[in-house]
Amino acid sequence: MSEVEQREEGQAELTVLQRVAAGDANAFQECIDRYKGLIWWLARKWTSGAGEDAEDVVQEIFVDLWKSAAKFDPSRASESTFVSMISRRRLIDRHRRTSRRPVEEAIDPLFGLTGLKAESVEAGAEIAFARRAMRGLSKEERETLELSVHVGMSHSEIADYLEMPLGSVKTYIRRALAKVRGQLEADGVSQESAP
Amino acid sequence: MTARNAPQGPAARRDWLEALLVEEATQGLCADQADELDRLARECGLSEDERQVWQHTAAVCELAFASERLAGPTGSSTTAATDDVVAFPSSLDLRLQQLAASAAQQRPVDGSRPDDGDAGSGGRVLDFAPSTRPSTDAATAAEPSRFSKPAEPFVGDPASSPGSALAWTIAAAASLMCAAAIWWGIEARTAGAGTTSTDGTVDLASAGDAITVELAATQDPAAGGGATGTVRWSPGLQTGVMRISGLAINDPEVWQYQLWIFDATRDERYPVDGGVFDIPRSGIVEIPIEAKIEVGKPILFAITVERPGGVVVSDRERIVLAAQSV
Repeated sequence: MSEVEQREEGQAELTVLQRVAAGDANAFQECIDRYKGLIWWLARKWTSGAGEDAEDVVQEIFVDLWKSAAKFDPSRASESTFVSMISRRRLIDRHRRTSRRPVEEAIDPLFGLTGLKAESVEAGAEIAFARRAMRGLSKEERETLELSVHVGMSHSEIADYLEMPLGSVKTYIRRALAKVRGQLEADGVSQESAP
Repeated sequence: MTARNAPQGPAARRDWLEALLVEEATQGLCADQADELDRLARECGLSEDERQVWQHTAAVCELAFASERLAGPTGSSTTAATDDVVAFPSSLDLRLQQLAASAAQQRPVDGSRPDDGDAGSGGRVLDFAPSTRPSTDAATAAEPSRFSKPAEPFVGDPASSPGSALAWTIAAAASLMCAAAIWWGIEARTAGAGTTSTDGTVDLASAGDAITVELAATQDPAAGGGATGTVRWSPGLQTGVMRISGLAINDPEVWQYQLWIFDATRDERYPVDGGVFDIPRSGIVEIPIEAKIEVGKPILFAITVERPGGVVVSDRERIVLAAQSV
C-alpha cells in the first residue's frame, strides 16, 4: 500500500465518538469500555469518592457524550481530552449545585488512579505537549494549577490550603493555563501533529 | 469582581472576560457570572472556539497531571496501572451496559448537550430517543457548553424501573394509555380525572394549538387531599406551563417535584422528563414546563415527589398529581 493510500485509509478511519455520532450500533459500548475508567476516576474525584453519586454522574456523562459525539472534532482535540472536557463540565456543574467539596483523599496523588487506564489518558500528542509545558511553570503556578484542575479544589479552597491571597491564586492559575495554552498552540496540537 | 464594578475599557473588559473564562474552566460560574460572561463574550466578539479553549486547556492539564502520576517518579512507564483493575462497581457496569444497549438502537442528535436547563435537574440522566434530524449546529461544533440546544430523549434504564417489566408485558397487549397508566400504577386514580378543555386559564402566548388538562390530586400527603392544577401545553411550541395550588411547600434540599409527560409517539415505558420544580409558597404557583425532548403527543401528565435534582427513572412511590390529555 502506498503512503498516500495509507494516509487516505487512516483519514477514513473514524474515532469511536465519530462512529457513535454516525450511528454505529456497537460504538457506544466501545466508548464506554474505553473511557469508563477515566470518567470513573474523574467522577470519584469530584463526588464523594464512590457510591451512588459517582455512579449517577458517570452515567450522566456517558449520556452527555452520546449526545455530544457529533461535536467531537479530532482536528481540534484528542478524544480523551474531549471526553475529559465533557466530563469536567458536568462534574463542575454538579459540584457547584451540590456545593460539595471534592473528597479529601483527592489530595493523595494516587487517588483513584488505580482505575485509570493509561491508554485512556495518554492518547493524543497534546497530553505530552502539556506535560512538557507544565515543566516550564513556576512552583506556584504548577501547584495552584494542580490543586485546581487535578485535585478539584476551588480557588478559595486553594487560597486557604496554601495560605495564599485569593487574588494570587487566581493569577497563578490563569497564568499557568495561559502558558500551557500558548505552548499547545505553538506546538500546533492536533491529531495531524501527533508524533 | 461583579458586574457592578466591572472594568469598562476594551482592554480591561477583555481581561475580565479572560478571567471569567478561566473561572468557568476551573471551578464553574455562578448564574450572575455566567450572565456576565455571556454579555462580555458578545461585546468582545468572542468566538465559540475561543470560548472553549480554556476548558480544553484545563482538560488537557488534568489529563497531563494524571499522566504524570501514572508514569510514576521515573516517568518511564505508563503500563503499571493499565492492568490494575479497579473495583469498578458492578452495578455501574450493568447500568452502562443497559445504556449501551439502548444507545445501540438509537442515534445521537446534532451533538447537543444538556444545557443550563438541565443544570437544574440535578442528578438526572436525561432520556434520549432516535431522531432523524441532521447535525446542523456547525457554529457550536465540539462545544460542550450551555449554548447547546436541548437534547433529544434518552431511553432510561428499564431494569431499574420497578414494575417496568410488567408494564412492558402489558403494553404489548394494551393501549398506550393503559400501559402508561399501569406503568405508573395510577390508572384507578386518574380514570376520569383528566379532562381536556379548550378554554384553559393558562395564557400561553401564540399557542393556538395548546391543550389544557386538569390535574387531579392523589392521596399523597403532599397533595393535601385537595391540590388542583392545570397543565397547558402547546405541541407546536413545545412548551407549556403548569398552574398548581394546594401542593405542599417543599424544601429543595430535601425533596422536589418532578413532572413526567407520557408521549404517545414514544415508548410508553419511558415518560419524558418534564423537569424538576419547587412549590415555594401557598396559593397558585405557575411553573413553566421545560421538556428537554420533543413531545409528540402528550397523553398523560404526572407529578411525582423525588429526591433533590430529580431522578432518571421514577420509582413512582409518590405521585401527587396526574392528568390525562386523551
